[in-house]
Amino acid sequence: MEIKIYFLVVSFAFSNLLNAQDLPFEMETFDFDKGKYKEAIGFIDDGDDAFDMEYFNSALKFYLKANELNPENSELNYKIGLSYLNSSDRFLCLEFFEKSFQLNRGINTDIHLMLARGLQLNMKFDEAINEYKAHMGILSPQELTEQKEMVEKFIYECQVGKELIDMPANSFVDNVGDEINTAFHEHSPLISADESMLIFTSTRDNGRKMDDEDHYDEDIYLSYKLGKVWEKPENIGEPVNTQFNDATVGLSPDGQKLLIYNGNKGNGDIQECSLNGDEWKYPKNLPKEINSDYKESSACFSPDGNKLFFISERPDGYGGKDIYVSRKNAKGKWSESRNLGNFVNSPYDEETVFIHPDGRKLYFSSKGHNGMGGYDIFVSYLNENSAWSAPENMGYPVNSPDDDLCFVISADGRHGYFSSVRGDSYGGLDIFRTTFLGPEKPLTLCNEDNLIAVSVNPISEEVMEESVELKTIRLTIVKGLVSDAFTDEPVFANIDIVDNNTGEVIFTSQTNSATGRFLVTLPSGKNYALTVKADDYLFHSENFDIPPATEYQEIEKLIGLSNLKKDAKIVLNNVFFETGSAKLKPTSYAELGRLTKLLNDHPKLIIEISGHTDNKGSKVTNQKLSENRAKSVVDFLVSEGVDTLRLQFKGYAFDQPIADNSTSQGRAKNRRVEFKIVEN
Amino acid sequence: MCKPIFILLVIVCAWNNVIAQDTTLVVAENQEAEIAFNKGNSLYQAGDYNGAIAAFTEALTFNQTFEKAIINRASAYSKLNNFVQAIVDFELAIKINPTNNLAWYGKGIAHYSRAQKSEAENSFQQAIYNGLKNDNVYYYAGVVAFENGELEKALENYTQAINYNPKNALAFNDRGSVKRSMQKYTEAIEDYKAAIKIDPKMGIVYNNIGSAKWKSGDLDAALLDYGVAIRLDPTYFIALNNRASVRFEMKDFEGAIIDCEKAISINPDYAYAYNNMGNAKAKLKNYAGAEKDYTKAIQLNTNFAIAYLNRGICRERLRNFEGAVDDWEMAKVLGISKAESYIKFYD
Repeated sequence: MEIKIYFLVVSFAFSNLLNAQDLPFEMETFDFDKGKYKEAIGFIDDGDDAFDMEYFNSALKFYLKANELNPENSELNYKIGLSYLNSSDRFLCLEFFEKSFQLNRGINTDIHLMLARGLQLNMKFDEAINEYKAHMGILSPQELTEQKEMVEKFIYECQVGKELIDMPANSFVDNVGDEINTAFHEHSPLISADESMLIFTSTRDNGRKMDDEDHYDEDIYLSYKLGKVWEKPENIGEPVNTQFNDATVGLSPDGQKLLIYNGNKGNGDIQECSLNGDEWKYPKNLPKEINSDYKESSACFSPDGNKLFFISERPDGYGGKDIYVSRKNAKGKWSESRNLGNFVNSPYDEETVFIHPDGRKLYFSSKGHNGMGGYDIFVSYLNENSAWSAPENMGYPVNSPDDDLCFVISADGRHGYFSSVRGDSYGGLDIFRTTFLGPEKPLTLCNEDNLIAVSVNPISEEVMEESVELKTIRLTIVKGLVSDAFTDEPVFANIDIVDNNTGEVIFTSQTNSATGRFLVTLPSGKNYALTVKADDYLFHSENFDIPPATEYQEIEKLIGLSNLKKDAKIVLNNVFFETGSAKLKPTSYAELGRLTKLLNDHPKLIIEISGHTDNKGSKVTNQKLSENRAKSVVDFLVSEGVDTLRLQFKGYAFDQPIADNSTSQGRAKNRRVEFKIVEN
Repeated sequence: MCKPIFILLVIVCAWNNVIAQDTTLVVAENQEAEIAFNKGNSLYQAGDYNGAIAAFTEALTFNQTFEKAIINRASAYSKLNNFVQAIVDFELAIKINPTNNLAWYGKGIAHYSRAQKSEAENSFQQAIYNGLKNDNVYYYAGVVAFENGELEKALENYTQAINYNPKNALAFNDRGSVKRSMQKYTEAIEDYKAAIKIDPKMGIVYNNIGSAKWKSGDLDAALLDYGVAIRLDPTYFIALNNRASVRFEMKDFEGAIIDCEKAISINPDYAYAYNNMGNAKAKLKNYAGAEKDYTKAIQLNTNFAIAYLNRGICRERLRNFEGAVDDWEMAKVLGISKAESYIKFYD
């Protein structure tokens, strides 16, 4: 229980903070200062009086003074808002309606409507729509029936406003400045084709007050432009201006005829003044084909002067004020006026019509069509069928949520002039100039992509050939022992490995001096001679013909070296002949070269070269072959410079085999050449 | 417990024996060219391209028509960006063997690297004609065709590349781009998605998907895809600029400016971002700021026709009509024909 009460107290206090206090105009509010209180009440009373008389500007003056003394009164704020809403500075109402609502949400059943109006006038369209909907939500059925159309139209205007703000027209809008505009109303501008002359209407002080509101009646003024500056406007004077309201309506393209509105004639009629030199002649009413028993408020001539477009409130229109046209025949008589039709005219008021000097564009203001609030300025185009197109909203910033009227345009289409109330107005209606920048010029974006991936993600593939497989060959290991053939003692000897094909010594080695052992490696694919040389010994040669595909093998050789003494002999293992012939193969030359050297190194040596065969074939044949082969070797040695007297040769056929002739290896060994020391 | 370890040791030792060098084998003679060639390959793999070139050249002293050495030397030159010399070598290999499709392929890549599209295209076609059948040669052929604006041909080549290698993410990306250029946005997106499935970290594909979706009008989706591309690579200034443009079209002009600023902070010379930032500022009616941005874009690229055009529009808004017309004159000279009508308005 205690907690609940505590919560209620807190929430009540909090809500009071959120809703600022609505301070009544009572003594307590003024701290019982009687003087201030009376002053405040006086202001309110005066304001109320003026408000009741619909002198809203005067009411504002009093209300605002009262507001200075007590700004926290919801009713006063509401009245100020209403006063603004009924004045020319309508958009200023929002601040006060919001304040009023903040102070007292129930200030009036139409507060949401008022807020909505204020929001719309300040172009806060989404919030305005919400408030309009809120207003509709609290209406009784009957009120809804009465107000639905109006509120829905406001909502539609807000939606249009959003669209127009989103896609603004390509133009500027500028106040023409305080040379022309004043704190009073300035409106209905007319310009000469070259924009050097401006004729307009103003309610500035002309000495003829209309009412107690410091309103003066309307007069027509004239200003000329020097360079970029408007000269001080002059009252156009009589007979154009009268003691009644005189307003500009239209100007002929040649500037010689001025159309004016005279509110004192009929219910408001249009008159025409002609310029005679530099003096305007007395205004004449346009004929009844134009001026009816109803109000005609605006008009303009077509460029050829033969048509007159004008606004009339006559009842045969499509709603309120409409645009009509009358044609002048060859005799100068104006035809019966014709309504421009419901394509141009809306169910709401049309006002202030102007036709472009080219005769094909009709500018006018309307509260209908797709406007964003109040009167908006529209343009309609004359098509090939001489029909007027559907009106197009001139867009924002030319149009605003408030009234935008009296549009005229220069001959070159670059500048338009119109009346409106904007944030930078000097007071009341002002004249503005819009500068058209031609068709919309869209901004262009620049973008790119990595459409092609390789420009960012290089391909890692290499254009490469793979390494080649190298041919390899197996080794033949030849190892062994060199010893004295007589004593078996190890011999320290030099070992040469010779490529028999080239005769080149490709490797040299030595036996171990202690053991006489040696080991050499011979890669497959060559015909080798292994020669063993030691001092005082005959050289020894072995042949290793190892084809390329030979697998790994190890060969053991026990080599006995013979001393250089009589009868010592060795097999010349690296002497080769053509098959069945005594012709020496070139692969023999290395071996024979070694023999030559031996003989040169030991000049006293006399040797016998003997040829031997295997036992295949006849004795005679083998005898002859073996002898011839021995002779071939001797011939070689002789050709190398060895004295023939030191050389003997003999053929032994197969008489002295050293291996078994029954095997091929044995026969190969038997087919040999030897040399023997005969004398040393 | 010991037995498994013992077995393991045995296995390890046996394996080492297998791979240990066979000492009964020696290199046969007369293979100096091959030995030098293999050495060159080793140096190439190690990144020593100059050393590789020397080795390949040595190989050629032993065998002047050793095609493989010529090709690999060419590749080594390519690695050093010496494409001129690479082309000389590839042409030499082709002279020796006109059907050497690898040489044609390498030549094509070298020409492409030198922006010699016609020669590149011809070389790739020769490689294919001479029997090279791999996805990359078709991919490159597709690239050249795409760059030449031959969209159908590009499509064909990329499809072939994909047929050879269905996991070629680059080919899927590029084919998507071709389809996008043909305004086949749905198909383009399918290909981009396929690329992402193969390589989910390929940020450029997300960017390209974003652009395809943008072109097809799906701005929300485009925004998301650009976001992924940027998450994958926060320095991807192209995607940032693109996302800025989508934000611009969604009328989020402040967001567009933020993205442009980020792009510029990554790449201060990115003229596009300055142009687009200018556009966003102009929409916010900050015409003075916009003008500065366009001016910067023009400073970075003195032939930036669009920036001149936009600056002219901005200057018009600043009521500098003379300056606006000057800019449009420049835009017109640089090839933007619509500037003519802008200028005419002020005649």
